[in-house]
Amino acid sequence: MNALDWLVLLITMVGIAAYGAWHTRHTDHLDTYLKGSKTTRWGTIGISVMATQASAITFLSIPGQGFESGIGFVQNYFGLPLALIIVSAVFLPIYRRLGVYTAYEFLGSRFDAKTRLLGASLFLLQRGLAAGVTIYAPAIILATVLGWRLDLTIIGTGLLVIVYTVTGGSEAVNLTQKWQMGIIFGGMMVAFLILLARLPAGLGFGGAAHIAGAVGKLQAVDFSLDPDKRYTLWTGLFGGLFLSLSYFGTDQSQVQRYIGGAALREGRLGLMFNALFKIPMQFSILLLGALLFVFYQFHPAPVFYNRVEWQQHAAGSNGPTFRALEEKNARLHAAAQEKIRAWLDIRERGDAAAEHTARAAMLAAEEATEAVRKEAKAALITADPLAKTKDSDYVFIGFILDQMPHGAIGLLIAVMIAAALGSKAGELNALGTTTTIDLWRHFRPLAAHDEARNVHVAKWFTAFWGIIAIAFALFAGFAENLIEAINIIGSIFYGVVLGIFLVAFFLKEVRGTAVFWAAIVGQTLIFALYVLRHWFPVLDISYLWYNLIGCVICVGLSLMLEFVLRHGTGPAPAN
Amino acid sequence: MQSEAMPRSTNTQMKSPPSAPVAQASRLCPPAPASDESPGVPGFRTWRGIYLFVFLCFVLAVAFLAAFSRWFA
Repeated sequence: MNALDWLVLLITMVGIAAYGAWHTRHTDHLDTYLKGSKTTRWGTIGISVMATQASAITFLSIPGQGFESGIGFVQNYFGLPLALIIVSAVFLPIYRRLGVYTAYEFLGSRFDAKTRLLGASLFLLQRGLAAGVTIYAPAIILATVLGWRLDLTIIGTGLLVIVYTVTGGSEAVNLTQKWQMGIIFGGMMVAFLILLARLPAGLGFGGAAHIAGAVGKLQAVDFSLDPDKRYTLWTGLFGGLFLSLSYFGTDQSQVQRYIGGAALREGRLGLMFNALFKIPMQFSILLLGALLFVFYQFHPAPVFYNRVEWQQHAAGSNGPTFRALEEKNARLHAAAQEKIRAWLDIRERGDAAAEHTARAAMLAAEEATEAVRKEAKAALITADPLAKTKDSDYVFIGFILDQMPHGAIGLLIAVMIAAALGSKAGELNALGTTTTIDLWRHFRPLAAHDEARNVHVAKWFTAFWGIIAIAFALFAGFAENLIEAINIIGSIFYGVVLGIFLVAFFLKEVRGTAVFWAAIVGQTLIFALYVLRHWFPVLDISYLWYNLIGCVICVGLSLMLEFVLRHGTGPAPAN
Repeated sequence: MQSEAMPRSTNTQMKSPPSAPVAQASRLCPPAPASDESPGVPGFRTWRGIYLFVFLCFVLAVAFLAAFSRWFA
């Protein structure tokens, strides 16, 4: 990064944060602080919902996922449009009519205080954990490749988001997210165009897509019923539906984004905006990753994309092994490139039989380069058992630094940080709100009438969660695949929380005690399922299924317990 | 871009404690039917129409992705 990159980065990031804080510095009404301006329109709500979900990991890890495993991950989002339709038709009108600040207030009224506290606590636990990952994920990658200090990167981005989120609450979050998403869309567009421009002359998008498709990177839809497969049409539709329904319908960081606004219409249209554009957006990012794979077939490709990690170990006593692997990779890479060019030439001539043979040769060469990458990872582990061998998160950032012109590098780094700030702000805003409304006001009901004090307390809790997230990011170690880490944390909790809400919305005969204990048992079973998979391979299923299983256990047990309570103890008092 | 420079909320009335505004919630199950408020979107008279449109777009997106996979396989 040179001075121009720094200028672009600082102007965009600090400028947006300062603008958000300054513009909303007089937000002293609780409604505005917690729900945003009453005049917010659907475009702002839609962008805010999208920005809260799309963290920096989306733009760092997902291209890497497309590079390594292809675009099949897009199926993870297949349940999202259906979930948003349900949230828009069922959940949102009730939240709006009740005028709640948090989704868990609804549980308190529908059931009882303990169920409300359970829902709020599960949210605080899982979102508090995820908040650490959200801030750590971009920091570790940016610090590694740019040579920044990890602790200062975490603290710097953390404090920036705390300042404007504490100052202006939801209004500041909505305002800054709009600008941040503008930077993100602009930056990703620039990256896509530069990538296409750097492909070999004459190849173009079509040729690149044919190469990616031939090596299996463009398999977007998998109809397989194999439960071991992580991403299929079915896991996406069913697991993804439950994950999205829980996330958008019951996670306060999302609920808070759409319950405000000028009218019910605005929230609904904001959700429909996401239902329409989320899949195309994720597809584009994954496609960028698949095209990066093609790009590196025609340009020097490192044997291991986390070059800093590689060079650290290459400098040690295992240096000769590492250099031998680099040479082998260069040799095989050149051979693979020849095979690809040969396949393209034959394909152009339309000779089907020769094309089949050339394709087989190309795939064999590709497997050979993949094998040497595996050897490289094994060598890293031999050199250091604690070495990080997942390098796909570093593919896109490596491309940015190597191939983008100055100015664009700063813009793309700004994309990563903008995404981190946008999602972090939504999370902090929700954590502060839930702590204030569902915990503090619950235990201090008299204080609920003092508006100024409520705003003051909400600001302190927002800052508190910001500091917790920074501390967690500084001191915790995280799974290597960061986007999956967040989804796994979410899936462990979301199913049960969704079960509580589905019972609340649809099963009017079930009361608080039944759903409370069903949720406790359901959550314990999901934890057990997650932990025991290490010892019992039969339990090692795709984490997306936790959403469905947790929800089904919670709903089913609620019905059974309610039946037992009614028939075992006689009529219970109404909630 | 839509300006957010709106005057601060004129609603200075403090909200009641959380239990008050949700007092009628227990009567909301099964959920109340969707509001009959017009979506105010050209070409759509009901929310049901919008949901159907979004669902059809989703089906088309999946079909496009499946065709995309086959085309470039």
